Amino acid sequence: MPRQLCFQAREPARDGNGLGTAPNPRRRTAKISEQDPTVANPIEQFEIHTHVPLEVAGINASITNSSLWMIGIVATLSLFFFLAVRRAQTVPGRMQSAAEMFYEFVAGMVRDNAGEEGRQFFPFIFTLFAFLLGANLAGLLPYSFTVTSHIIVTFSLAATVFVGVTIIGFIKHGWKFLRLFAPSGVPLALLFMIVPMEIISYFMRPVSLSVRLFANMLAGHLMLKVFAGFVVSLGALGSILGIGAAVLPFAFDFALTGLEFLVAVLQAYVFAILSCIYLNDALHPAH
Amino acid sequence: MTEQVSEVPSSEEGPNFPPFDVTTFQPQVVWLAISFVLFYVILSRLVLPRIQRVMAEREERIAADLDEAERLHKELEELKEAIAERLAEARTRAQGILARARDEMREKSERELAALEERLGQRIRDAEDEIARAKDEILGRIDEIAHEAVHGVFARLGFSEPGEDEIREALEKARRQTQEAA
Repeated sequence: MPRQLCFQAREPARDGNGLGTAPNPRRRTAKISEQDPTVANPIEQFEIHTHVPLEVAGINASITNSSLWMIGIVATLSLFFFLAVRRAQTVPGRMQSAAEMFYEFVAGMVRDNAGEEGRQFFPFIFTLFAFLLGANLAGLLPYSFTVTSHIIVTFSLAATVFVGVTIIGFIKHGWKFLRLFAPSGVPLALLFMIVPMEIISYFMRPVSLSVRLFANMLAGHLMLKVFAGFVVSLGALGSILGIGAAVLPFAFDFALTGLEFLVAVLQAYVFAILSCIYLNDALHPAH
Repeated sequence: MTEQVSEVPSSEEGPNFPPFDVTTFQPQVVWLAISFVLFYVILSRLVLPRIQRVMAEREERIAADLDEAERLHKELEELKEAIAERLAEARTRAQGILARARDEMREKSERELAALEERLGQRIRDAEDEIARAKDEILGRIDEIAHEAVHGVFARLGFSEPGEDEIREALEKARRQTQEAA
């Protein structure tokens, strides 16, 4: 579906090409002619717009809508947590209770999945979970941009987890960490098959971790926008039939929004808990 | 794979799908790193230690309160035991006092009863003595009365009076007969 929808990509889409990409005049003309003004482009919501072009030491560090949302999410969550614990009391208030519940939840998750040694990585898991939850939920705000709907963002986080976990594994266990790929109690003959499979599955971890979140966010937001587009185009027909039919995609969008809230929370949770499980493998590599 | 899709936007209507647009990767990674590290620093330096501290404090406080409650409870148990002990002691003492009082009372009443019995026995004996005396007196005078009665009867009937011996004999006979009859 995305490919097909791309044909209709509206003109502003090309602002998202980031710094240094010169607009292609041929493409511009082609797209304008194909554009249907009554249909909202479901891809538009994923476009990256450069607000302040910036280059630092040869690296493109432009301030884009994505970076603004990232900073905004971090600022909002930091403000919430800071206000919640500014005057931390033994008998907590509402905000402090919420922050403590969140803390307890993540602490429990780390403890249950990564054991006591996982405690030192608790701040990272907490940050990861809070950031992903904030980004996923912020994406559900009308007119918002979903940071986690970009594979590079989820992949960067997943790669950080993957590389970090691998380094921790080697630091803690040295070469014995490689025993992770050879489960104990497996016959030697089977090991020739098991070990390559384990290695492949290990290296697929960052991919599955990042694609899972990215695809969930992307698909959810695409669906919401596509059905919202149906509401508009059916409503634009004007007749009673058209407006009556427009109710259906509207109802679907309504239900889908609820589902997307669930997906947003669940995917952040899945990402965090899988990170904990990978961490556990690094801390206790013997199966 | 994902990169390849966006690396070939050569044709006019070629896929320009934003998430696969590699040109936007650099700024996203840069700002992700900046915001994530910032968030991590804020949380791990400012927020999490405070939450941990206040929760540890609360736990400590609860533990201390529980200990205090435990201590008080133990104290209470001890007090209850002491009270029960004292109560049992008092009860046995009360029972002792009661038993002693009962014994005393019984002794006293027995004594009084005995005295009363003694007195009554004395009176009964006195009365019996008096009856016996009266009886003896009457029995002593019975011959005399009989004599007088015999004399009287004979004089009335106009018969010659029998001799004293005859009367005495008859009386003796009659007394024997009554004694036999009795």
